[in-house]
Amino acid sequence: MDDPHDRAYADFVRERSHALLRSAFLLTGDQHLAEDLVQEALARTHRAWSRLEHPRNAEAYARKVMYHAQVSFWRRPKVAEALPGDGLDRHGGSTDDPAEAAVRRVTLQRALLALSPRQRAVIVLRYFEDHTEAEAAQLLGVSVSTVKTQCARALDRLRTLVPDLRMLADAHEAGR
Amino acid sequence: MTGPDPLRDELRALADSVAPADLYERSLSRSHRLGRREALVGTTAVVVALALLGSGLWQLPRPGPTPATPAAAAPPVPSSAPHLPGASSAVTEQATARKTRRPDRPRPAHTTAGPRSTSLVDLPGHVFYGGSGSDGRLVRLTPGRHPRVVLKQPYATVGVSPDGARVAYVADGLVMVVDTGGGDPQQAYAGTASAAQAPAWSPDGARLLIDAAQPGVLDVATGTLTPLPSGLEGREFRWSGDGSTLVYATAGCGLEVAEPTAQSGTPVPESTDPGRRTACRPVSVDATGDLVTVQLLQRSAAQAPPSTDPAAAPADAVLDTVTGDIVDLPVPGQVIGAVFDPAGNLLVRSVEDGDRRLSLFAPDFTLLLRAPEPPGLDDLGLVAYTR
Repeated sequence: MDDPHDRAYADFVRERSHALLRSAFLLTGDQHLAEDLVQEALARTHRAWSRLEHPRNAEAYARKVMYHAQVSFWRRPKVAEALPGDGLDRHGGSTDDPAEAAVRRVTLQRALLALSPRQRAVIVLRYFEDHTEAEAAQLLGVSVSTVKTQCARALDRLRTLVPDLRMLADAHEAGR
Repeated sequence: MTGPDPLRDELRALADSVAPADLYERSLSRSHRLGRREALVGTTAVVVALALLGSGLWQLPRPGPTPATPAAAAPPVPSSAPHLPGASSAVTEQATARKTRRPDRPRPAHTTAGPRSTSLVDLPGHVFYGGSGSDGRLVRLTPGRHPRVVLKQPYATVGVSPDGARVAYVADGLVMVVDTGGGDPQQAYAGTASAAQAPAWSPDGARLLIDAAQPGVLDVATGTLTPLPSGLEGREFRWSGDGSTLVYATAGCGLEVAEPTAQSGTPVPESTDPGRRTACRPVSVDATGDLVTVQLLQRSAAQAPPSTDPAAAPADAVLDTVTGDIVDLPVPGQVIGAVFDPAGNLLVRSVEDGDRRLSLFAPDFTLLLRAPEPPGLDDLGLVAYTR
């Protein structure tokens, strides 16, 4: 690994791949699919490394590849089995009971997988990565109004599927 | 962001459940596989280009536009600067392969070296000018001849084929194609969104990138429309001269580059314009996709719907798609138009004290020609420079 580019790429993968993996897990709902998604994003970032120059560009590029791949290519059955709708348990968000916390995670995971890929991407960008609507629009290559529409529909769907998240963060989002 | 936020909290908790994974070797392996695939595609393109060269098809006559060959299997690789009568042939290299990227890309010299020619008669090829708004004129300037109107038909957007022989324009939702030598316009496609994409000719002149329900590539001969990969979401798509790269604007007023079959594009770093202007309207691309002529907009104006009419919004700068740098063009006065031809030669229109000039640069930025523009073109915008 004598090449400075290779060293920089290795550093980038070591430092940022878990952060990418966390987002990818929310997008795919599965450990292996998340790894595949990040692997693809990292590989394409490696191909483009000489053009990117700065590590911050590399992460932005990798995330962009990841979101585009998830919304387009991964539209096919590349998400974990979703069991949306019926039977989603209601569990409060205030308990510290590990068992209940685990059930809450599974409930949210299933609810996310019931969303369309683009809706899921918007939710992750807005509420996990804390991007503004404009930033999310730029990352996804769509208009701000598309982000707003997809986000509103996704939140409505999540409110239905996860009643305990009924007070979703729309109050926090005014003006963003 | 204050107070409890159950969705954010639950998303973070859910993300915490993913296990760490070492993806370095896996991603490198995948990258090498992608590289081998790209190399295979590149080799195929070179073989086709060599076959074309061997067949002598590339030896098109210089003066006068010639009909395109729609059935060309692949775009010929542009390989030379234009030949100027009386000029040295030392500038007939360039149009390097895409792999030879920055930082050794030639840049304009800051010396005051004079042009090799000051006579417009020596300008090879054709220059196209368009009227803005409802003017509907497209004028062809062939050096040594009087400017000639080749299209007089109100249009929303227009694109000139790389050989200058045909024009595609959008009017009333239809894509029409007409020979610049005369003849009736032929309908190539019905149902385009004219505001989003001027018809962009492929380097071989056989296909048009248009915006139908979504951006797609139209085979002019058969009328078959192939949508672009869904990951390439943008507008104002433009081909590089070798056909390897698309440059396009994103919804957020940025630029991206991508291979035509890629699932996603690479963002062009934000421009370094000291006037804090932003480039969100590509006009033409050089041979390899390394440089693009753009119209710079003030950031506040960048949110407004851009004009897609090349005559109404000519390029006024050249941008490096790798670094985002704006290339400093050594021309007198203000740049009021800039277009690449498919081989990467750059024609710049400038005005100083009311005098308009055309400057032609080779791909290595050698100044080949600088000459006054003929009268009668003042109210028109620079649209295209073709073989």
